[in-house]
Amino acid sequence: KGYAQFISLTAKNKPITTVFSDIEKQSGYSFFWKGDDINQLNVSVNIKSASIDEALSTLLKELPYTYTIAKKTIVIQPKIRAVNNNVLAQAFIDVKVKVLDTTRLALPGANIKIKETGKNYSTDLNGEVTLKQLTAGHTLVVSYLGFITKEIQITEATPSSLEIILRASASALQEIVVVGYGSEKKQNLTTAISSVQSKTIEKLSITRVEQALQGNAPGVLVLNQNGQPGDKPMIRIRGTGTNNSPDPLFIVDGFPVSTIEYLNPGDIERMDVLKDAASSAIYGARGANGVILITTKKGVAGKPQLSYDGYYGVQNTWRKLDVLNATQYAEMMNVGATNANPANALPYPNPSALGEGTNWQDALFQSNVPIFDHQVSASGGNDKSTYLAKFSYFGQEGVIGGKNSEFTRYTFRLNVDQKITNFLKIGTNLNYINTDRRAIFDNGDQGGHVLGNAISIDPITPLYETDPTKLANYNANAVRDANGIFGISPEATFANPLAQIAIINGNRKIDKLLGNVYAELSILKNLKFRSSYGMDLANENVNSYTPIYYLLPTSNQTFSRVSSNFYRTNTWQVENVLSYGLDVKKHNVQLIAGQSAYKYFTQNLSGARNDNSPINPDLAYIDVATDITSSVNGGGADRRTLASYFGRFAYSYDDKYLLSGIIRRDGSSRFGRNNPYATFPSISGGWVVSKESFFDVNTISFLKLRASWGQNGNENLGSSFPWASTINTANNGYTFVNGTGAEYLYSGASLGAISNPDLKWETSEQTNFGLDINFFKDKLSVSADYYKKTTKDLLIRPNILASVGYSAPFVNGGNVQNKGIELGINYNEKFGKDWSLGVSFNISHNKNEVTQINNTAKALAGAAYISMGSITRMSVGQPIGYFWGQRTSGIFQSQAEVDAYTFTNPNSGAVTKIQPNAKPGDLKFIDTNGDGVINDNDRTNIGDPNPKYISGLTINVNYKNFDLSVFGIGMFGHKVFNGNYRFDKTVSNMPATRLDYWSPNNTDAKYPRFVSTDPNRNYATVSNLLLEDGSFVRVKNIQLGYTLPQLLTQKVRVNGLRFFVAVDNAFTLTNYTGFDPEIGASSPLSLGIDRGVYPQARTFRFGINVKL
Amino acid sequence: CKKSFLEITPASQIEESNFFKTELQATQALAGIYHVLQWGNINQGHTPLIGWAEAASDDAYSGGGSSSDAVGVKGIDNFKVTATAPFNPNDGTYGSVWNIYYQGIARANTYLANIDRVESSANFKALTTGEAKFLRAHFYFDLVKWFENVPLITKQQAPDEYNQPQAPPQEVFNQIAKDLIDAMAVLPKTSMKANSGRATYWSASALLARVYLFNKGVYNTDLNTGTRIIDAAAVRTYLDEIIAPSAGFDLIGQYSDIWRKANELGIESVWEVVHSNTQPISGSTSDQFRAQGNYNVLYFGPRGVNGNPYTAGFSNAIPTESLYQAFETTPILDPRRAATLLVLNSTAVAPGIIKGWQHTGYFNNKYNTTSEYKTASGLNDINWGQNLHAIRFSDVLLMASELYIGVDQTKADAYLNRVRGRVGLGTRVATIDNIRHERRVELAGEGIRYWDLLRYGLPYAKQMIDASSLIGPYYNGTSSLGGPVTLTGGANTPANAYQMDWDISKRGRLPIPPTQITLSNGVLKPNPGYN
Repeated sequence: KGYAQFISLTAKNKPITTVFSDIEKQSGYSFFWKGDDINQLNVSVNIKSASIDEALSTLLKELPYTYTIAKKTIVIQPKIRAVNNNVLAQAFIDVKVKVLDTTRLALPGANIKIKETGKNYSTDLNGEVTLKQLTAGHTLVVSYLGFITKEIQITEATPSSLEIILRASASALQEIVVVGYGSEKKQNLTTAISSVQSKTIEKLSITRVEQALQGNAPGVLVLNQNGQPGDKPMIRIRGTGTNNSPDPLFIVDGFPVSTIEYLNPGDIERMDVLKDAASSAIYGARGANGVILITTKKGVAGKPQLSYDGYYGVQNTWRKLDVLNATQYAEMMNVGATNANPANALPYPNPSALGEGTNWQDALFQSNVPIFDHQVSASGGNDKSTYLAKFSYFGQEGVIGGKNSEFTRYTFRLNVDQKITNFLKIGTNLNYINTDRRAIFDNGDQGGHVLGNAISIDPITPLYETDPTKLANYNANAVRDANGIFGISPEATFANPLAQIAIINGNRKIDKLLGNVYAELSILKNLKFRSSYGMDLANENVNSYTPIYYLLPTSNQTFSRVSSNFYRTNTWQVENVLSYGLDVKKHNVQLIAGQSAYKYFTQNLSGARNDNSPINPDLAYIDVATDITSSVNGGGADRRTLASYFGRFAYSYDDKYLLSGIIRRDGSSRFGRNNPYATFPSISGGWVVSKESFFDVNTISFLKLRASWGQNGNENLGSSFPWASTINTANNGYTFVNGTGAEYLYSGASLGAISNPDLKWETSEQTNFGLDINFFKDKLSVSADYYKKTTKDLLIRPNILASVGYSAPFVNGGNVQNKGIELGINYNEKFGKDWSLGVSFNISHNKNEVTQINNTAKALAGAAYISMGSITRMSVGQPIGYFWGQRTSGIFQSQAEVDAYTFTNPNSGAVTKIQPNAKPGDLKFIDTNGDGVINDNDRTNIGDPNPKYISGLTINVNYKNFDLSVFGIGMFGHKVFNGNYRFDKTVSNMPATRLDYWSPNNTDAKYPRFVSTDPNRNYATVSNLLLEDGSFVRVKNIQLGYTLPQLLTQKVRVNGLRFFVAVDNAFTLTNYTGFDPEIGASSPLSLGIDRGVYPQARTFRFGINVKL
Repeated sequence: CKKSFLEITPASQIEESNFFKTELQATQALAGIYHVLQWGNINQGHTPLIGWAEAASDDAYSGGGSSSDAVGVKGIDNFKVTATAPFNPNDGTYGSVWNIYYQGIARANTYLANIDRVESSANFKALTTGEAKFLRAHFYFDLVKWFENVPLITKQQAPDEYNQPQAPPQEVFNQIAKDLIDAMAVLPKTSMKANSGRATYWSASALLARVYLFNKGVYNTDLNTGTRIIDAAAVRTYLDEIIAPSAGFDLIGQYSDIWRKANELGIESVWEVVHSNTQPISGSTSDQFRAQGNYNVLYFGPRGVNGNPYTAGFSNAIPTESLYQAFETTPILDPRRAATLLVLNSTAVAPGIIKGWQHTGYFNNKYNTTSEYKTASGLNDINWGQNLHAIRFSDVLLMASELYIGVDQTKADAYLNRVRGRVGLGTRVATIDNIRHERRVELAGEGIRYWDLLRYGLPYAKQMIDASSLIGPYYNGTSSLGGPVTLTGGANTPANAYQMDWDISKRGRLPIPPTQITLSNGVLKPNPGYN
């Protein structure tokens, strides 16, 4: 069939598509057009014997369309024509895009950016999105977390439906890292930032946010202070740099929070740890201890998604201490008494009759204690708005105390982002949290706590006393429960720990509303203005009720007491940030400038009252107690402010040469009046060597060298007004008399201390050198950093002359240096179709040294241990918080050895015994200063509580639908003070290892002889005898999951269904003999002191992840 | 942001810059200075100040629980290491004594530096300025007596002014005189009771007399305020003013009644430090400086007694046999002996009593743990409500008598015999020896004797202190005099612990605390005898 060379047609108000059909029939050409507009167009035309060109020209003459002919296709496009301002209108096309990974799985939530217009799209649940009004020449930038970003050029030939396949990025070079007031591609980073993402966090089932960083971020030391539910772990980033607060700054969605306890770990999308000064300088005076930026999850455009993640687990203690049983205890007490004086009567004439006695730890530790977590979230949105709503409920009871050691947390979150217009975007994060915590004791307690008593109380005393003759002598207020009256040790030194738990009634409840809103205005292309307001409103309520009780002669109360404390804390922050980006040829410039203001205010009110009779613990409110005369109350307030300005520039050329600089100026109410402002600069640079043309190493796919330098500060100087002198009015008055001589107290006042208006922040200066290198097409990546961090102007209270007459002010007077290296290695590989393996390992080393303390002693006293006074210290030339004690040199084997241990006075020549009270079997203490006597002047560094090496290892294996992950941590080269046992009390029970004590028949003993009076102070002295190697390796988590095949689940309209089983704290390898080698501390000088750390539980969990 | 955004002040506390604005605040600050008068113990240093002066004198031994109890005070028995009394200049207690006075001085200096900022009447400012100066003089006088060579700080210091060298003692005495003269210019001529228990004109002039006598005795100079010389004549005038009936002072009829509650701030009280048990606090002995109690009471209290009528104390500053024997016994027994010395030599007399260190069976009967001043609640140790009778009218009479010897002997005799007459003793001629005797027995146990000994001259002091090496009949061991041995338990004191051999080279003064010398980088110099 032939076609006419010439076209003739007549139409009156016919649809243009009909006309096209006529032309198709006559000419054999086919039409192609875009848009609905044409379909609705009616035309009138009269053509006779016209060429195809003439016909089309005539037809489209008055219409806003033009045509092109390619081969046999006629493409009708909107006309490119001059409109009002000579802007050319172009032909628009819409393209439907589907984003897939290499296995052709859809990638929902992938981002597609039109480079030229800056418009952003994200794919829906099926990985699809329709891009509107594209024109030839547009570039699509398609990115997805963990995948290599792809750029696609739109041409006239681009079909209306496009599949884009992204290749998974083995390295995380494409990862977008949050850097504070912005983000940066990881490959362009010039600073030291470690990141942890939700996929890692979700595997760990952590109970608090800080734990996510343990073993996952090189250079970040996280130690649980306690296994007690809800207890705060300790975090140190690159060593301890201060004697004040060493805690890092937490910024959640741009808002600084004072405590992170509230945050549901399941809400976290990613955590970025700014470790070097060059990165943390953007937080200026608060950055010295590092900054942890937390970004919460947001909704993604696409079909609404409902998901549930949850688990239920049971916890058991993984270790109990091997202490003496009743017979062994009695024998040991006999030995102690005889050694003290052979004439002493034996305290226990017939030890074997006592049998095993009470196993207090078995009585104390509960088994299969529940832990659970439920997380329900709904998210979705479109290209204009996205939302995420999430509810979580977490609960954990303690392996000690059960419900008396409990933590529960409810969280509600709503994150919404909405585009109002092309140029205005607003969003909000809203978070309501409710936590409730009951605690039985802390590591910080100085003895007398539940766990300590369980170890120390004699094993002879029964859990419940049943002997009527003994009960007849019991105090009427002896503690009882449904099973009977708790036994009281006749030694009257240690309380029955179960009785102790029975009288604990109290909790700490927090209601917190945390939210921020922002508006982002696109002023010009590449110029944005963002304004945000955040607030944190917390109401905290601490209640306690102590009944009438009798535990010991020294621990009893003949009245019941109710107390209550309320705190209301309100914090707000306003920030305004202007950001500008310029991308010209290979030059990329990013600039930000901003302002921030912050205010904190807290107020508290407390009261307490007694009652002479018991009160129902569930109704223990102050009004219920009747003894009005015992009422006490108190209240106070605190406040502080921070005002800041900051700017950052980042320049890169061809992603090859990178340079970045920051300056921040902070004003703080905490600084002395003469130093209200501080300025912190930083600079960093990088060179991507692998991008150079001369670089030609096949195995190395990426190589970057980094260097950075910066300064930042520690504004957290203890109190809110460390510089101020406040008036002390409490108990400071004088008794005057009235006319009749009657006395009355007149309230007095005096300065509390000298003020120091010159007081300023601690400054931390840090230099960092880094190397990022990837091998084998990014399958293996290695990142290494070396840093040197010097903290100057530590806040100390020097000794001043007493003639000044007031307490010394705080002054800036001390330096600490931390040096270290960090290494991170990641390896990802696929084996065949079914197997994949991911390994990530990191290890870091830190060396700490105090370089200056401006007081007379050149030292600051550290933490105390019961009767021993300060056992840690901070002094020049030593690591911060080192153990300060006597060095020993074995055990005296004979009196001759004791007698031979002498000192000769250099002046008089007199010879004296260095340890005149020692006997064979006693410890030999080294006379460190050589003055002939053993005293505090001989105390020296006997151990460092700071780990030399910290390390983490994660292994992920996937086989078909199975996934297995194993996560372990290790810390090495530090000492722990094993203070679980009460060395100061001779009637205390002791570890079974102590049976290896010195006697004439056991001269090779590990421990000195046991003497109840301890005349040589073998155990009353802080010595290396009490220190142990704290190194450990712990498999924190093993998780095995199975994802049901999608074919199966989709039949029941479920998009994803996974089951898992997990075990936490599976194995621990350590030589440490206390309950748990993980021993954190709340203050920098008390690290590594185990006062009876509540052991972390071994937990078995079963969980489920469902996506609808 | 505005600068004011950052310039916030503490919310629930008053910051220094916001203080000293109102009359109420100024009065509080003044009460804060008075409060330092009540301190006898800073952080368990156990430094009750008249108790120490007693222990240092020939009227008392240091006492305490055992040879190792409160060794700081043990050292001042002899001011040297002996077989039974360790003397360690590093003892922290000496630092406590130093601290107490400098804290009082600093509070007074702060007051004087800020009083002009207060919105109040000129009259209020003048009057309270006088009180602050009186208190500063009081503190400096005690400080310079104990340490002799002390930095003289009379204003608020900037940090670069902290490290001050010691001033010549004379400068300190002259400053004390100047402060007292300034105080006298404004303080009212009323009784202390009429003046709410606050310092009066009379308190200041009597203290000036005491300062004069000490300075004159030790340094043989008059006082110089810069504008005038305070000599004996001037002091006689001031004392005569107090003695004149128009001033309203008199001796209380019954000597032992002076220490009864009813006579506190009474007609015999020229300067008295108020203590109270009406606002008791709890805590431990280290909280004494927060309380209103008189710590001397606890310090002197018999050891181990079980509350009826005496509550257990520390049995420090145990009166000597030498004091016991100083009282006249013929023709009549001086009733002041019984009023001054409590003889608790058996458990029959004092249930529960146990021997302390240097037990003699005697206890201070003027300040004692009797139920009269006991607290109803709170900790007994720190809430004893008995006032400290710092300058009594009889002391004024005796000072005047001493100064009139050879000037107006009739007056001198009359003043002396007014004191003797009250207790029924016959008249004596006012000679220096008679007045020394009279002062000893009239003022024993009141923390005055030791300073009198020092002003009578170091050889005299040594002679008297060494002469107090009398063990006495109630010593619970071998007694030189024999006597009942009825106590068991407690410390067995060896006889040589009663043996006094006073080290004259220390001049009777405490060591400058070595920690302070170190802190000063050697700007502070050790006292003579301590090098």
